Amino acid sequence: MVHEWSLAQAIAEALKSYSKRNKISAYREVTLSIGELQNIDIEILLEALENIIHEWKEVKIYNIKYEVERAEFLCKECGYRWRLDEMSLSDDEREAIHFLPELIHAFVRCVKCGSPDFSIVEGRGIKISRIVVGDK
Amino acid sequence: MMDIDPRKYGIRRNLSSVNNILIILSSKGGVGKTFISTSLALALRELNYSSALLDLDFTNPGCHLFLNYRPKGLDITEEKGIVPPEIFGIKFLSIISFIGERPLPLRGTDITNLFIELLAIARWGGAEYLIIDTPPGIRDEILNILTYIDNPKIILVTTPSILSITSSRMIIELLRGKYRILGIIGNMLVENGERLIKNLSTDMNIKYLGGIKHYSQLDNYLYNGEFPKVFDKYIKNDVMDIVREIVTSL
Repeated sequence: MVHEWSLAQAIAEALKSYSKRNKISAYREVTLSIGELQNIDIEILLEALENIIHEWKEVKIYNIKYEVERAEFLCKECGYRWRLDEMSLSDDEREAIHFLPELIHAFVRCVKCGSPDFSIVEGRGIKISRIVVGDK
Repeated sequence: MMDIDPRKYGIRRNLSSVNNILIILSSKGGVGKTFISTSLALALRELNYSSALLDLDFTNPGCHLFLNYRPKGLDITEEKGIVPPEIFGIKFLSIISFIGERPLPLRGTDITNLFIELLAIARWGGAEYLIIDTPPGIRDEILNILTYIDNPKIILVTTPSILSITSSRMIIELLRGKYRILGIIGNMLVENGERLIKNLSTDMNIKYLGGIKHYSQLDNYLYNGEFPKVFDKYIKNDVMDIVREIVTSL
């Protein structure tokens, strides 16, 4: 079973903890922001998440949405900004980055000046980006 | 708009299956933390404990050299997360299992993200002991351990060098009172070295867990991939008493 399951479990735990802290019993909508860099299998992630929350009694979530955040990189040396489609990565490299997005630093340099010193500006991982509290 | 990072919840869940998390720490570099970490993991396995080892030095990993583990490509199994490979009976996780021996230049934010992500997906299968080898310094990796890992038990490593002993005093000052320090291990002991470390432990009221002599041939063992064999033959005897001391003090 793929590691999307552990991400789904972590999202579920985060929602449960947030609900308890804020005394929330139902969400009309939860939106996940999924970084392009992690290349998650979104169907598997959502299916796993729905399986987990289906069992819940104390908190209901009626709708889970997602948006994919495009990856963007910034060179600290020359200031160039670039996107994922400007780089070529092998299947093994993509797979490693899929598990741990920061590993891109092992495979990539600034596409313009060749510096190894760049940052992932956005699009690295998963966040719960929006919730709407309430019944269906 | 809000941002909840779910990964820290994954860390707590995954580590809740581990009985004891032992952090091998020294803010001074070159004192043998990696040697001690790997030796403790091997010794715990010898005592029939389920033992795991995490190399938290992302930019300069070394535990794999002690275990003579040189994977060519990605070497992890996916099972509701990632399951570390077993090397010499130890569940071993290192950045090496993902990228081999490639350089990995990281700034502080990247180190923190990598730490959180790795621990959020790593599954330790109910290990009784997880040894965490740390890089030198009191920077992101160490602060992340203190922030994100519940109830870490800290083992300090020092050599008799004044540089290392001074550095140990500083890190003890930082940790004492809030975190549990199990004790201090002396490494690379020669002549009067052990006395200096015992003095440190008395002065700072930190338990002395034991000492390991200086192995002048250690680099040769590593070059030849012989450490696990040599450990069984010689080093184990030095380490076993320390491990028993640790186990009974928990």
